[in-house]
Amino acid sequence: MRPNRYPDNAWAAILLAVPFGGLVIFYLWPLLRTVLLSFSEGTAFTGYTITGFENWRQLFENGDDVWRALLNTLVYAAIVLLGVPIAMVIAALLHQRGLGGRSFYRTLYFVPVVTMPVAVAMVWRYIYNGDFGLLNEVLDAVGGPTRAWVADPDTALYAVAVVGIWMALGTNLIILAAGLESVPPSLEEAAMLDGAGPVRRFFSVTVPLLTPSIFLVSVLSVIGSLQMFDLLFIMLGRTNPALADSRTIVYLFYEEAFVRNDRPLGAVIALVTLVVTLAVTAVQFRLQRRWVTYA
Amino acid sequence: MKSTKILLALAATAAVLTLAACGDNGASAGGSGGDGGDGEEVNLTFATFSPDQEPAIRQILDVYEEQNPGVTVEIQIIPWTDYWSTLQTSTAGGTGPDVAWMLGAKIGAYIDGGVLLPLDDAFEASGLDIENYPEQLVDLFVDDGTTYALPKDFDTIGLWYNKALFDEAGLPYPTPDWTWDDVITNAKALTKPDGSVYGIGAPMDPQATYYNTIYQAGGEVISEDGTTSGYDSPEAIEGIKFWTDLINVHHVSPTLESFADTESVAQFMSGRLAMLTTGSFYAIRFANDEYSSQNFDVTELPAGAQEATIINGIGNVALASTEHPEEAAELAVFLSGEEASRISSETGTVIGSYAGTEQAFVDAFPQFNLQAFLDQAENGVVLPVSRNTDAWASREGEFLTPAWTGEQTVEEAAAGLAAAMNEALAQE
Repeated sequence: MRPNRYPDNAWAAILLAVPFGGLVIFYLWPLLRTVLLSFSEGTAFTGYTITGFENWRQLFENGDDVWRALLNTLVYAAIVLLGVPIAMVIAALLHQRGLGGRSFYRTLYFVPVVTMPVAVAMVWRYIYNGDFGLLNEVLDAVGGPTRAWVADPDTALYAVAVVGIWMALGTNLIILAAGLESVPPSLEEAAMLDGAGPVRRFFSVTVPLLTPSIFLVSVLSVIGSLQMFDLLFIMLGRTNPALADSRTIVYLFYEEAFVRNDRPLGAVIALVTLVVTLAVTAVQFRLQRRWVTYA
Repeated sequence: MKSTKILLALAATAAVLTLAACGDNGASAGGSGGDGGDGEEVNLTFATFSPDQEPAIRQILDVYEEQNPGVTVEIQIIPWTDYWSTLQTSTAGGTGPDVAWMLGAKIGAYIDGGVLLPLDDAFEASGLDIENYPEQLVDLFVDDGTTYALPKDFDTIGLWYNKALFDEAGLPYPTPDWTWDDVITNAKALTKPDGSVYGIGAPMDPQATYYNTIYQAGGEVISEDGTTSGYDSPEAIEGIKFWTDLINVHHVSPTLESFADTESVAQFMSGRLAMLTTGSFYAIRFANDEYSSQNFDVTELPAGAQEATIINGIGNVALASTEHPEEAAELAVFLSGEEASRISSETGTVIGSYAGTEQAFVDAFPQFNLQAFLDQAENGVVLPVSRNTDAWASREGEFLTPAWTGEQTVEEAAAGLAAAMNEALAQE
């Protein structure tokens, strides 16, 4: 028998090198460049030279815009997180035994996920329109308050967050539905024999077993929310009076880096976003020990 | 159990890291194929931000291709919102177009970066006469005696109005000798209490609204030497106040919120506004819309303390990263030449910049009095620019918004803007 020329871990190293190379080229290298850029001055044409801490100093001395945008982003992320319990309830309802047309409903909820965000944003823009919008028509008919939902600083961020929840519902639902499938029916049956009603079974059996999925969905939802840009960009537009109070951190990054062409300052904002995202995610991982059950 | 956690951690890490990759997108593949040797096929890419003008551009390029066998030009339309970031990133990355549209407000950074081809030789060879272009616009694109672009067109701002709404209110149409007081009086009579019709639109649009009135009031946006802001002068404040008063004092215009939801031109075209000050570049859009074509007409801007209208033009530049510098420079000149100018005017697309071709624009849509745009060109003030216009122009909206919504006085808003603008100008 021929001896194996390569030990197993050499093979592993070779095969892992491929994805690792991709990680280095597409993530770690740009990340390093972004860090260097944040300490530089220059323009896209003349190139950038490292000059020191000027951009970071600007952030801490004159960074009101950045902190405001960060706060807006965290508020947005917190609101969109409410989509997780909503998705859970819907997932549980769709999971009920004997429900007809289950795949039809799932498709229905998944449609926003496969629709272009730009198209979604355009349609919601019409719905929210203060003069001709569908929402105001309905509210007017029932005597509710009407306003320019996405042009009013008091409501714009929340109005966009509602769309964010709606768009994320499909993905959340699929992950939670898969989690529900893996809950062994025997446990539910055992609980039923012990006399637990449907609500009690849901909270005492299903939810604890579903916690790993809920955790994953929450983490992904928060990370996605912290990077929110497209909905705001399309739904608000550049001359919107609500922009100052609703701007997210990535939107600010876009303005600095690509409208005002200050790429180094953009790099600073991108890195702040990265640090905040890492911190928020780390907190979530720390807290999960208290509530996530791994069966 | 352990592996689930690791998987979760990996998924989260990947999602976090996508952030870092944000910076390097946007460079769309343009560039040119072929090696550019004699007799070989030359493919050039031409970038523009206007779908409205595409048919006229294609017509111009067809003429060019006919005159230059072996050269083909592909049009690349990049929407306005992405145009400048895409052009800058792709040019810096060496994958940009060969020829592209340029504005006076943007060209400074490109000249400083050394990414534009001088067009002097190609212009010399073309036999065109520089005297035939509007001088103020040519100056926008000349630096230190070198020409980097030639204006292909120009536009001025006029007072568009909806005849049907004037008829309904029993009012005579606006005339060239109107003042802003006439606008206010008529706008009040045209505004319907139920909010279905407003007398005029007062969007926060520098080129179409407040820049014009600032210069009419005798103020300026930027000092002549381009080093200080003019926003805190009483004249500039008066020029801005005219528009904010239309909304907050006279109530004859929809609010800024309303314009954020539905842009002013769309409101005008749906018959909600009786008047709107905007550019000659909208003539083609109004002519192609049945309602607008039948009901709209245009006259000169009303006067303030003096007459003024903002004049602006688009230039064509050749990018130094091109593989075919000779052809690219030639094309850039051709796109701003007499033939191109004539086609632009004849199709009613824009006012051709080359002397003698403007009349064709006026004749293109006889339903509108487009002569008004030419008549006021003599009072034209070139859209104010500095070396890095975006650094301050991008902050105008941010500072003026509270004045438009009535949360701040124009004086307060203008003072804040002037300070921020002076700070940006000091860095140039």
